[in-house]
Amino acid sequence: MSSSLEAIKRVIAAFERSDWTEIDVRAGDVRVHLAAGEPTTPPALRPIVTAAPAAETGIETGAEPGIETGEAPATTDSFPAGAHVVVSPSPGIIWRSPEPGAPPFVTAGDVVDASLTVCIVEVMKLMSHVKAGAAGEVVGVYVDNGVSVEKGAPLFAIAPSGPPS
Amino acid sequence: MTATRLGRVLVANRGEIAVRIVRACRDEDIEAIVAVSEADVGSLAAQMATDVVHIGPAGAGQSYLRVEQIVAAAILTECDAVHPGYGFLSERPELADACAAHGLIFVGPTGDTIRRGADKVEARRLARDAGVPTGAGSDSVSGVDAAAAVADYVGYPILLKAAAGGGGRGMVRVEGAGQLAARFAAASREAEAAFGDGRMYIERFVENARHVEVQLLGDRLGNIVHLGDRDCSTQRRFQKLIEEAPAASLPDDLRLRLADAALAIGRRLGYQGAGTVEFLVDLDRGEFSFLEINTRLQVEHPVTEMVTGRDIVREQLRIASGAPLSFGQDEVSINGHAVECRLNAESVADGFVPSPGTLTRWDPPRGDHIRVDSHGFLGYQIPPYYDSLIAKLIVIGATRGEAIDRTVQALADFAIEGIDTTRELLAAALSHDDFRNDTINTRWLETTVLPALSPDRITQHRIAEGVNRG
Repeated sequence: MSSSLEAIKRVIAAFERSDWTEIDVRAGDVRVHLAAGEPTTPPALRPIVTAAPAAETGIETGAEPGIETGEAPATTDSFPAGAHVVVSPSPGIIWRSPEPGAPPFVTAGDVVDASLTVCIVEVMKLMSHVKAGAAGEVVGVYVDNGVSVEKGAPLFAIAPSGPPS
Repeated sequence: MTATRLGRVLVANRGEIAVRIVRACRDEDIEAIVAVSEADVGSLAAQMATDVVHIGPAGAGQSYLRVEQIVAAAILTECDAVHPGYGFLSERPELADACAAHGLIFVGPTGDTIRRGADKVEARRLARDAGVPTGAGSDSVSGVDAAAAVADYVGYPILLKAAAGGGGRGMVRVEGAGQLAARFAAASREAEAAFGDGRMYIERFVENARHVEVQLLGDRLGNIVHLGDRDCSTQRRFQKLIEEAPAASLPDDLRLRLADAALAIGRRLGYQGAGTVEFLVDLDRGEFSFLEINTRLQVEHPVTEMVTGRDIVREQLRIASGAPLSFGQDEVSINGHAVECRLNAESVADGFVPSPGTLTRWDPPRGDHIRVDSHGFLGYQIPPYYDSLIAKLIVIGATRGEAIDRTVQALADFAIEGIDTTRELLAAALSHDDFRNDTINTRWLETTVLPALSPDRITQHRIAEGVNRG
């Protein structure tokens, strides 16, 4: 669908009279991305109306719908030697903290118990706590908050603190 | 108001309900623009739509749950109206308000009506004012001491409910006084985190309860009708799995009283659009009490459509345009019995853990009495971001027994591979003598069916614990 110039102007007008901080919508080859002023952009309003060819975004070129992996999983070589690697028990979205705005469950350098929750994986609205699985120090963090992962994706590496009991 | 023909509607939802709304738009000769996240670009609704508009990343919080994205998408694609479906923003007054502020028609009631329905404490008050029983319980309780006083008065077990919850979310059962302090604190904290509102209220937990609801339709000219009742007592963790219309166990006098109660609440709200008033029917006491009002289309609306022959979604679109209801109360009749079961992409054996994946086989059952509402197709990759509902199987029969028999057969014929589903659990529940005899209650599935189905696995402790993130 090609949106008319009038429609684009109406979106900009709606943005200007609202308290919205950002919108980013695309119909056909028209993308309207508007953001309220940030410190780095002096004007209060930064209208970006760009033609986004399908080939550039990949969205309309028949790209597979569905799971989008946020990051390429780390390769096995990159894990610290002897470390216990915590993997995702299912595909889903990783939440590093118990609720939005709260500090993360763990960060690099933390010493954890095997039973400690290191993150939450959300799949189809079910929240599952992922446990460390080994006691020791967190030496590798392979996921950011809010990214999507596949089942088995490495999440953290933990250097065991002693012989298994 | 004068009727304005809707030319183009934005479908602000996904999954099977987006498909359902596109279908209704086609029937009403309205163009349907489907709002899609990055994960839904290839969805069935997107394929069927007149066109799509991209509203953001896969996570619903960055797309389907953003009012400004929906409104901007509707303006950019020159839609006249926005249909919110169910879930997502459908019961958020902010979307209805924003549509009104930007000259868009919201397919649903006014923002004020949604606000009054969404606040469950306010809704209880509204029901009482309309002369509808609300059952033993409280308005919002200020703290654990007040909660304890109410709980002692109504008697344990009780349900602690979040004022901002609803739809089975934000509910905790408390067995006795010893559990109250800890559960109240946890539930209030979770409600604050999930809904931004920690207020809690109390209801007596009814052991032998049926969940019965009445479908309402009101137009913008002041007409309001009901389309009979539905029984949704087959639930797991307060989530419905099987729904029926009509509610066969209701004595006729109680059926009339429920319909009158629903209409009284609807009239008091000046209700516009499709809505549902939910009741708890206490079979032991022969009483009913108001549970909540859902100011939107329900997942289970098709069972009502099957027995009344009325199309609720088309009627929603007509109401939104300002047109009068296409029928009056005396033209509503109930014919036959319909059963809906929800096929969820979940592994029952693994404690209902979600099972996203690719549909490597997809052969829904066919037949004169069968309707399948689904967004599934061969090769569809079910994304992990949204709820697990993959299909609703709706079957009608002349009698309840016939509808159940046909549903069991249709489930057996429903060939799905590539994901785990609740299909076999549904068949087991429908085939059970208790279900056929209609002697179940809202706890029946969990206390009777699930333990018998897989005694070892169901009791097994799961690594996954539920956390409500809204």
